[in-house]
Amino acid sequence: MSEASADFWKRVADSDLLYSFRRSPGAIIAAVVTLGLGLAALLAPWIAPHDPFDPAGLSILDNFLPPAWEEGGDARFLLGTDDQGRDLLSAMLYGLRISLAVGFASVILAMIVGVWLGLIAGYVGGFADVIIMRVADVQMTFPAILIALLLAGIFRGTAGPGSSDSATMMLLIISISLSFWVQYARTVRGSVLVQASKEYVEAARLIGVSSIGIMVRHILPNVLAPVLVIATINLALAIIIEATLSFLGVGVPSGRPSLGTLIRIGNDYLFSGEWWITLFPGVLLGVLALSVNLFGDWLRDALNPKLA
Amino acid sequence: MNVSATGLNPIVPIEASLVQAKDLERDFAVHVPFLRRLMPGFEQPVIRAVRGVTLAIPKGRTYALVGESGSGKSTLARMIVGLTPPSKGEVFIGGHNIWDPVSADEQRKLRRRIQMIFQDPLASLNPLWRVSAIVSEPMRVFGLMPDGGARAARVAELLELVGLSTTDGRKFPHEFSGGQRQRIAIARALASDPEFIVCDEPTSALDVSVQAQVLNLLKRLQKDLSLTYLFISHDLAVVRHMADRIGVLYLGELVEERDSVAFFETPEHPYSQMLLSAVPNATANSPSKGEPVGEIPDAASPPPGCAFHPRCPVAREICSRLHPKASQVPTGHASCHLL
Amino acid sequence: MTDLLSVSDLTIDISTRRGELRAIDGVSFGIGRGEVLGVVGESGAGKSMLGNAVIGLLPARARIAGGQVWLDGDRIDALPRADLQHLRGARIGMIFQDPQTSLNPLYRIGDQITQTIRTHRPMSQTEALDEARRLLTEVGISASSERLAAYPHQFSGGMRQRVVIALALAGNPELVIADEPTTALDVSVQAQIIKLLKRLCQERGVAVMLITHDMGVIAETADRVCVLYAGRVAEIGAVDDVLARPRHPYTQGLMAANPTLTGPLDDGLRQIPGSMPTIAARPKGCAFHPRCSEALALCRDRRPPLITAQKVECSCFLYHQDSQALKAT
Repeated sequence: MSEASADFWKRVADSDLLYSFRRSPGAIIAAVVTLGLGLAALLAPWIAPHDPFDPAGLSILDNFLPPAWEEGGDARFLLGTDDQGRDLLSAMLYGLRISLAVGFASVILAMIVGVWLGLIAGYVGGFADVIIMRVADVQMTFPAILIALLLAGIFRGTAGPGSSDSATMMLLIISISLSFWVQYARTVRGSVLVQASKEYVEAARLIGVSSIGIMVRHILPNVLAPVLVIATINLALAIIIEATLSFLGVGVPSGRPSLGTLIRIGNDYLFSGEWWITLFPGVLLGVLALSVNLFGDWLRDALNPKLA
Repeated sequence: MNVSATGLNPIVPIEASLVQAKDLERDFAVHVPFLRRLMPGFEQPVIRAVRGVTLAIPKGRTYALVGESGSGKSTLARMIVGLTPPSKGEVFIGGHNIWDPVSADEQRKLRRRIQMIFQDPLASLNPLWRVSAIVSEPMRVFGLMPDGGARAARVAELLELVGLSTTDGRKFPHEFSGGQRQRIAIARALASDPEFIVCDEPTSALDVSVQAQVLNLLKRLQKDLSLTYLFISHDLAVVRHMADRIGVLYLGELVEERDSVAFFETPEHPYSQMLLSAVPNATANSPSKGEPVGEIPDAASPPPGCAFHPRCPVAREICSRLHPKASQVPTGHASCHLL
Repeated sequence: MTDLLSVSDLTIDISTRRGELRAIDGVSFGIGRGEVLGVVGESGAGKSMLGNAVIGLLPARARIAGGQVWLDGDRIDALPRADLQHLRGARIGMIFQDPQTSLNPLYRIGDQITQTIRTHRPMSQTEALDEARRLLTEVGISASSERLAAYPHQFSGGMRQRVVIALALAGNPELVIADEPTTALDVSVQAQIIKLLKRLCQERGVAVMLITHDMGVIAETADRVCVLYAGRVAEIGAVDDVLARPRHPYTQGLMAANPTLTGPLDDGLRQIPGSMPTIAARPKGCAFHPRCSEALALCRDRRPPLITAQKVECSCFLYHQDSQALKAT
């Protein structure tokens, strides 16, 4: 076991991917920033100076305090406070947590659905292929935001305003992933068509390996590289879509603000001089999306044999 | 009942052979755009890739299928090995019809007896699997060696048999050269103890010096394990070194079938003669005998009569009208009006 | 006789993450007018890179690290890009392996040829059209208007390769580089293309550098042959001399390993053990010594120089004048 894992790490250390990574400063910075933000989000309950969701700890008297270095700032609230007197830095850390969680969840959901539908469309072919790919075509004609708004509207209309927070979150994740699965399905289908005509698949068919066996054991691992690239780039997109939806008020429940919610709250007060409530979450969102995206770009180039 | 589709008695009685293909045919529908399919009077065009091929391979022998691209040799091989269902005809291995097995259990047993070696040694190995996993897959699928230790020992034995080192099992396909990859593919093909192996252009992707290694290995394995080969190639010089019997395919039809020695001494069909004269000879700067002309026609619209007549140097008027029947020639048959 | 193309001590390096690797290592040869030089080697020998170096089409990570290339008195190994573009087509024609990808599928055959003609020669459209007809006839295609108006996909593989040859000749070049021109073709078509290449070379007096892995194609087409092994010349000489009596153990092995239509069949093919080393793992000394059955002790450390051994140049210590003495060491 230890020998096998040592072998694995030797292969990683020797791989072209790591070599390419070490030689692209952009990718290193992007990875470090992403990782740092991810850690900050993960450790938010421990590193945040305040608990923004604890009503007992809030004081309405502390609202609209500017950042600590501005005139009238308070050393307890480094980046100032929002309309309800919540510490903005803490709210941002928790918001980051929610943004990343929604992003990851929707990307993983889209990946699972898309990869399977793509595998079936590519390997089974025929009628299944026609149905899946036509649905994908129709899906592609609607912008992601529109689908999400539509779903949110239907859901709110049927479930009523009293629906639970977790149900709203689930809905948000589903509606974001619904606009992403098409990309995975198309990419996987294309790769499957290439792989399925390769002779190693024929060799497996020859000895009677079942279709499921061939799809899972042979083809799936060989089509995952492009999926990984799309997933990384989609993560940035998903975070932005979530922020957009939250900004429009159909995103995460307002009791648990994400970065988008914070930006919306701040937007109401932007012209009355309380610029920090919008600016800091906005910058954080930009940095997060940019670094994830840059990392995805590098991954795409590094895994593309044509550019190597 | 030893009568082939050509109405002739083959030299080897068909029932005594390990592998028999009877009157195999395979059509492929040509893809036509949707709207044109709706036009009145539309007829689905069909490519007849293989037409009425009957052949038999006795145990321990090598039958070589020779033909240029588009001759249908790969389609024929895929029908015989069980990958492409025939439109018509039957394939028997040891008397069992592989396309109409009595039970699922019999189908599994038949599959164990047939294996295939492919043209592109890199594409025929899963790039993400270790060699040991690749070679042991048939054993796992057929449930041959449930015990992991025994299976590992068998993999090591197979790797040694094909001239690789036992430690190579831990490596991945990309760590090997082309010739070594083809050895891995051969080891996998041997893993289920097959009797019959279809070799589809096994050396055409390899360099000459490596090709000789693989061809010699295949011959040695055949002798040691009494294997039966169906050997597909476009290279007549390679075929001469491998085959006991030769079938020449032209546009999906077997135009000549002979014992190897007789074929290379006196090819009977004009197409066989053209093919032989086209082989560049490396041993001396000898001018070619015949003059190859033209190219193999589109299988979707074959010429009437004898399919070879537009390229044939000795074609007569009858050749463009009438499809030739097979005539008996020494050690086999050939389909030409002039025989 | 002065050679039209003369390559001397050409060395090409490729930069990789493992450092600079030597792909071509001091290769020299010449081709005279009306002569076909066959460059033969197995995959990894560097034969295609040699052809690409002559026409200045090296991949981005490869560079000429030494040596010179001369074409009819002009040095061409360090030309600026614009001059190179004129060189290709006008003075050097190129034929590649796959006729499918050498032709633009969206343009008519006639347009592709006339365009190429007019790029390199001062001709009016009508003159170029006449020239295109002449070229097509020359390569064995009846030059009817119907043919000129056809698209590449309407031609068969052999016909397409004929069109590619016509394109290579369109600029009236002095040198034609043919990289595996028959590998993608069927045997019966290959024979026709070989004959065509040979005839054109004789009629036009162009020099042809024929790159191939196939000894048979060399035997049927080339006047002289250059055997490459691991980026170096193993043996170079007249085809008749080399093929009838190969000197270098590698050439000998290659000839013996090549299956033939004549000769005995009893004891199988002679094989060379192992395979061509990858560019990153070329052995010290003579690159062939690990596979050589006659290797001497010094072959492991010292690189054999190219020496003349009975009309043929060969880089092997066995033909060294002191070979008896060397064997003793």
